[in-house]
Amino acid sequence: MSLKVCTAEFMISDSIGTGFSQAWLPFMAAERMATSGKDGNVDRAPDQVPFIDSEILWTNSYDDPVHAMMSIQRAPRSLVTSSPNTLVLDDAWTSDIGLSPSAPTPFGTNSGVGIRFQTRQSFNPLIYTRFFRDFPDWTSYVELGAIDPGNTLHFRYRCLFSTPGGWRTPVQPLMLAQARYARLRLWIAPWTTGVI
Amino acid sequence: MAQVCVSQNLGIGGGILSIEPHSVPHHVFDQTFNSVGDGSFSAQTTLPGKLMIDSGIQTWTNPSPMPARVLLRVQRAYRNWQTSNPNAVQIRDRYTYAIGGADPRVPDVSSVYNGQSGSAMDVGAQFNGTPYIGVYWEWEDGTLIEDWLGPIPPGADLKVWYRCNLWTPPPWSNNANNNNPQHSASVRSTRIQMIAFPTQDSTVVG
Repeated sequence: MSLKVCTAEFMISDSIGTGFSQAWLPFMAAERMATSGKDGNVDRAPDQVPFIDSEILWTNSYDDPVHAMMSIQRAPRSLVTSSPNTLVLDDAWTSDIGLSPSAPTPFGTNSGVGIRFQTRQSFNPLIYTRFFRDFPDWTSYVELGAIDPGNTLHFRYRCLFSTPGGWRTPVQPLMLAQARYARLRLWIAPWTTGVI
Repeated sequence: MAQVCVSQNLGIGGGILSIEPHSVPHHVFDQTFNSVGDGSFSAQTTLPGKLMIDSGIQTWTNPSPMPARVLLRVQRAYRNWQTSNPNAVQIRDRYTYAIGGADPRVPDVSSVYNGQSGSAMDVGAQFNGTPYIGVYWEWEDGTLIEDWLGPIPPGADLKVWYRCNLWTPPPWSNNANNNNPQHSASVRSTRIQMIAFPTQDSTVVG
């Protein structure tokens, strides 16, 4: 039988033994796979249209403050366009931490891909031109900061489709956008201030 | 003398309290696998296409008395390719893994895969049926994907297998770029890392 000893932050002790608390050990605390609801043929979209809309709510139920980071894995994206139209898939995210957090709706862009392929000057008639592009999947890390015990993280992610600039009806038009999915992973590590 | 027992993330040896190496995240595998297929290519209209990178089966055995989680990182090098009007090129890759004794399944990219990159431009053909002049060049940044594997029990194996293939989604024109076909690709290499993470000793609950 062991003694239960007094421990500082990030340690625990009972009559079996003394060890690290879960908040000391870096780990993945939450994961979310969000799929696109609008993959396929696309048309002119001056304003951003959400293809993927997802969020994570996570409460720090430990006794110690933790350091949160989010990794966003974007699926391989595919875009097909016809001259001279521009297609864009943006990734946007927002976050809030507090007792009752509410992250704003993500707009604009934090990352993303897009294509445009123009074969004639704009004052000439269009000719048949299609352009196909696949982008490999890729990971972005977002630093979120400290989450105190009892506080909650609210993280929102959206993949937004838009067609910036001019738009003409192409010769034999083919416009496709596939965002497929995004995978969110919340990583937790100890938040230390140097005054343990 | 007071007696204090510790979890398996800590150790006591010769009366000295210590932290075990497996209680912190640490690199356990880091290898770069080079492409054997860089250079020019011709029609590869049948999946899975030309094999560019093959890691073979790579194994890590958990040496610690505690289960481990592993962060698998797959870092693709920067790539570039060149393709002629109207032909398409696509580079796919995939990793598979297995925990325990079994081997992972062959990472065939024909139907299931992780990454794809590539391009095609189609600006049509002249009256005689020959495609117009047109060559497309692309330089693509390196990319990183990750996976969170495990738990891997003490003494158990984690096996990973990675492959990268290049194919040319049909149709394929033999007289691309006005009968001057130019097609080449460099995928260079893929680096695979495994980073082992500690788990809590469930016998000590505080």
